[in-house]
Amino acid sequence: MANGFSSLSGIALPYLHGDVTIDHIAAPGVGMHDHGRTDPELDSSTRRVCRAFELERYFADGSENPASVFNQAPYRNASILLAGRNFGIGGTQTPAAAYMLGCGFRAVIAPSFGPVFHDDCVQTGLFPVILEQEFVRTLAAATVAAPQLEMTIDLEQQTIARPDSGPIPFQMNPRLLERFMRGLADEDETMRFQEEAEAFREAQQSNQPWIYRPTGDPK
Amino acid sequence: MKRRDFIKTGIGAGVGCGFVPMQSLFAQQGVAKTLYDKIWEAHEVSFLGGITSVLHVDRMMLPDSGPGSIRQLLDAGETIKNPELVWAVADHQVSTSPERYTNRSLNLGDVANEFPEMKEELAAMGIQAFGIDDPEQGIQHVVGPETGLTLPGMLMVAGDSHTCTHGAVGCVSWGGETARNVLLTGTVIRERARNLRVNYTGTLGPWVRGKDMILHTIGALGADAGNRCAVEYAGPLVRSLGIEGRMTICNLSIEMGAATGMVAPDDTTYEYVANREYAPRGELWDQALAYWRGLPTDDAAAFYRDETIDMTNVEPQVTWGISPEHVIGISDRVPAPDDAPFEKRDAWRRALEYTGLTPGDTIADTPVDEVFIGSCAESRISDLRAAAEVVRGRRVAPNVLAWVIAGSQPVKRQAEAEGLDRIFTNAGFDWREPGCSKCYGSNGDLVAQGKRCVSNSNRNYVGRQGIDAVTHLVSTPMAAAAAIAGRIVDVRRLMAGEIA
Repeated sequence: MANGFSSLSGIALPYLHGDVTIDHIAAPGVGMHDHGRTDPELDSSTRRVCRAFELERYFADGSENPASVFNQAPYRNASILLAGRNFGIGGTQTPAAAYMLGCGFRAVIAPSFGPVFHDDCVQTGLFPVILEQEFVRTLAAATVAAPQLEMTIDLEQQTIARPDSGPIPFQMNPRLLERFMRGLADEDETMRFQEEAEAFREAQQSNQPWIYRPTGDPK
Repeated sequence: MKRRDFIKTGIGAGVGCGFVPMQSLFAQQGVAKTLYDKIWEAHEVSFLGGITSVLHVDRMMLPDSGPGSIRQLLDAGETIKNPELVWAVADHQVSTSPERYTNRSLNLGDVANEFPEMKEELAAMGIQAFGIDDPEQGIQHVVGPETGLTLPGMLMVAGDSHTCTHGAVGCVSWGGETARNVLLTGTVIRERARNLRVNYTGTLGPWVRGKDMILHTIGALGADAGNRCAVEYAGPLVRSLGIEGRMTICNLSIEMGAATGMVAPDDTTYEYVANREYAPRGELWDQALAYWRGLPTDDAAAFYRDETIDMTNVEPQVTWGISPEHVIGISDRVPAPDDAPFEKRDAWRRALEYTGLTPGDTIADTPVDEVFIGSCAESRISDLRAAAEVVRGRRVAPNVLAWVIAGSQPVKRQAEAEGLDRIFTNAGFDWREPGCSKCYGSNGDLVAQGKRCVSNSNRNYVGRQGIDAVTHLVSTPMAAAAAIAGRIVDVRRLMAGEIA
């Protein structure tokens, strides 16, 4: 999990397609799209391998597709994605959220998320904001009009603002908000319940002992 | 209720079960409970308010990276919590080539070596780990129920999203958990889902099976119908299925966005579980059985949603697009974007562009380049028997590359004992070693670029099986029939001799 943060600012990228699948964000298949490249426009401190949205960022031969919005200035340096409904549907062991972080994204704002991807975002530290579609569209329109202006997501105030448009409030489960602000991982939350977990285990072991016998007894 | 109330819960669901606060639902339910509620509550270590709880994990299932994850924690001086409840199997990165045992570099990563290297150390901790050299090895969602490591009433978690498969034996199971958290604490922190029941009615026509039931359901209800729902599959049609058919249905729960999918345990379940390698015996069995019999949903329990799917007249299903909800019957024609609800027209247009089909054409007779039979959806012995029945005495069409991959070593041995492997190889299929393979390609098994594959797996996303590869999801016998005909065909017509 990344460090906690109370606000984040950056270029936003409007990408309002509905039903973008998790496999579209992170193409499966080892070596399938393994161009192994880094994004030359990211500075050295943040340079990491960028593998999100490979299917549209690159041609099959590994060269960049200049028509892809992800490759166009200033969006190639975007850290906030404005997305459509059901962003990240499907779910699997793909590192979709991690890939987006690797490409410099810190937050995704969408009307709704695929539930598995949403949970992955929480676990990996990609900030998922659920915002009504009309507000996402408003932010996208403002972005298209002045793409170089940075958007700011304020976790404490729970607002999204641009220099040219007033703050839009968003809501989030307080537990999840705290996770992001403090940079907590699952284990940071669950570790606090180890005494209860130990007591649970003892009770279960005596009530349901068969759960604790996965050792291949003789038949 | 106002939309704000929903947003406050932090639930990101589009449709599904996302719109009503949990508390009101619990109040309605009273003491009568669903299978999901019973298992959830039986695993609550701590209730954190709202819909969030910390839950005890009965089984943590690790994939290829399992030994590495454990090694990393041990090297950092950490202790593995409840190690006897953890198990691992190599499946995603293993080669499916028969040469993988001798030429071990065919297996990706260090998966061929890490399992044997750590086997004793893990076993000493009580962790079962199955590498390519072990007789239990296979796809995790085949191995779990097959070995009895998955049992009714359990809370079973893993990283892999198709962990919902295990719900077929009457447990609650889901993916998306991190190895680090579960290995360190033996618990997970989760938001409770709402109950959705899918009742199947009617009758199944010839060559219509569990895969067609669930594909038809996803088509009818939508790929996001299960968002934040725990789905219980019920009704006489589900009861009539064996555990393997139920596993296929539960496997695709995640394809409608569900938190988990399950079937209440019954005598079919207990018969299946009895005498499995890691299942309880003797007195422990009696004790377990008495507990399991109390798990099924109470008659008076209320479901947040109840859906009925009538299977009468439902044909073998085939997908035409890039989402499992893009599905039609084999006699149907490819739909046009204008047939879709307004908000889905753009997605349908993109889907048709990708799959290269023309609206109004029959889906039947679409030529195919590859056929894949395997995966955690349908690679168990009953699936392979159904495929062999179609293939027996026939030949794979020229220019079709057709693979059969048994879901596990025990399935493979059983198939070979029944001579099924010979039926496949004589027909021109490749008979390969157990693993996830071309369903996902994370071991390097990919559909060739731009080729069209008929597959009995569970995802037809863009690029899922390879660069620009098109996937048509079908049942196992439909996949076998496509291999024989060299095009998408109706298995019923092939078996009736109406198709050469």
